Amino acid sequence: MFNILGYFSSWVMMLVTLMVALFAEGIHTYVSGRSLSRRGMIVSLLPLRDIFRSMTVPISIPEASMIRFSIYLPCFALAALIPIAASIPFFSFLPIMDNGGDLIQILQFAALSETLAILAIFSLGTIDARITAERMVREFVKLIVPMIAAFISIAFYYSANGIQGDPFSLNVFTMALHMSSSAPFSHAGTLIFIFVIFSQIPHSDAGFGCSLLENCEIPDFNGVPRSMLQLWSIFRAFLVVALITHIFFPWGYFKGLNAGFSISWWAQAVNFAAFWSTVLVMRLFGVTLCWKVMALLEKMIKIKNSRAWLCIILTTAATLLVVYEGIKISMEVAAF
Amino acid sequence: MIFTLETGYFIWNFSAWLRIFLLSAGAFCLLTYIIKRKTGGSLVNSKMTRGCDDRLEAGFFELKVSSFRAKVMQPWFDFPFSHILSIAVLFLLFAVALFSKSGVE
Repeated sequence: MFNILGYFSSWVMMLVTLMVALFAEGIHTYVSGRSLSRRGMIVSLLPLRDIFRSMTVPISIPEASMIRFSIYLPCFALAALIPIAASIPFFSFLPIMDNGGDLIQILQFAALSETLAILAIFSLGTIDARITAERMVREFVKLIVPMIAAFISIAFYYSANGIQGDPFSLNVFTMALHMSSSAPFSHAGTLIFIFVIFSQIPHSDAGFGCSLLENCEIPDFNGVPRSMLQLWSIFRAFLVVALITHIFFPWGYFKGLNAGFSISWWAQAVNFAAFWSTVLVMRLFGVTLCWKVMALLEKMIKIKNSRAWLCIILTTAATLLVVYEGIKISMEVAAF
Repeated sequence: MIFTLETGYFIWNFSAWLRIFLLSAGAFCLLTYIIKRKTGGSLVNSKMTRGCDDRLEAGFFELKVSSFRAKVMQPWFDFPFSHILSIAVLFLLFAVALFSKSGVE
């Protein structure tokens, strides 16, 4: 009974922590909305109001849709994000995932969640929905490929370092050796990975947030399933930011962060606040900056599909840098 | 049934993942169901994209399969990035195989 209660309280705790995502999204859209308003654009200063308002209006879906799929698939897409949240230690103090979260399994759930959301949009059966879903597939590929490359190359780096156990575990990544100043190539590669991943977080424009179906997209689709999909897109973006921040957080400056319950409650509270403040700052400023820099680079390079090419080139360069550092270390170890 | 996959390199606790996914899915579906019951709903007449599917004189199951293939599978295959996605999936599988093989003691 106590276990079930603990499990449920952790689950509720995760949902409450996810509210930080809404807070971050609200601040982002409010600030950028004010800036756009000054330039003459009419932007809602209460971006989340529409999401919650559409929860209370009657559901409307296109006649051509597969009704049950359109209504309930967004719920499954949102639910598939929760195990990812459970893998990030600070989402719940009582650890649900006992091995600190495996990055490959996290990617699998991310792919599952994205697939369910895309299927929900495809199931609407209209031309507009199909265009939106195809755009989502493109955005997903651009986001997931750099993430896979980052996780695998950094795991390879840790393998070459002689790490015992799961090199894909979040616990291993918190050693932050890949960010060490004594490993300049992996450090540079990691920073490029951060830039590429943050810049590929799906969004309609740097001025707007990362909510899906903004700007009256697919007006035939309304009600609670639409709200679920919009919440899903905000939480997905926030989870990517939280995950990347967790992997690249300066753990060395926060002694005892990995010690779990063996450190005092106030130290845990400080760590909790430090981590989520960093995530909030990264979401508000880091991600927006990466979006704007990528948009600038895209404009400067005047070739077709310049964004895709930039993404491929930067990802390849970052992978080579991190892998090179790993090979260098293993050769040094072998020579020694 | 295997609920935990463990090698020298990774431990995947399937039951933990499945439990939390199903609990969340159940809760969100229930919430949607309750709101749907309270607010009701309607179908909006808009442009159909079923095309030739509507002219098929096939059984119920065939219609469903055909609809699923045309509306869900085909757009993925038509997509120009599908080969890159396939390569990414293969790369992922390769990495898993590589690390799991190395991890066997």
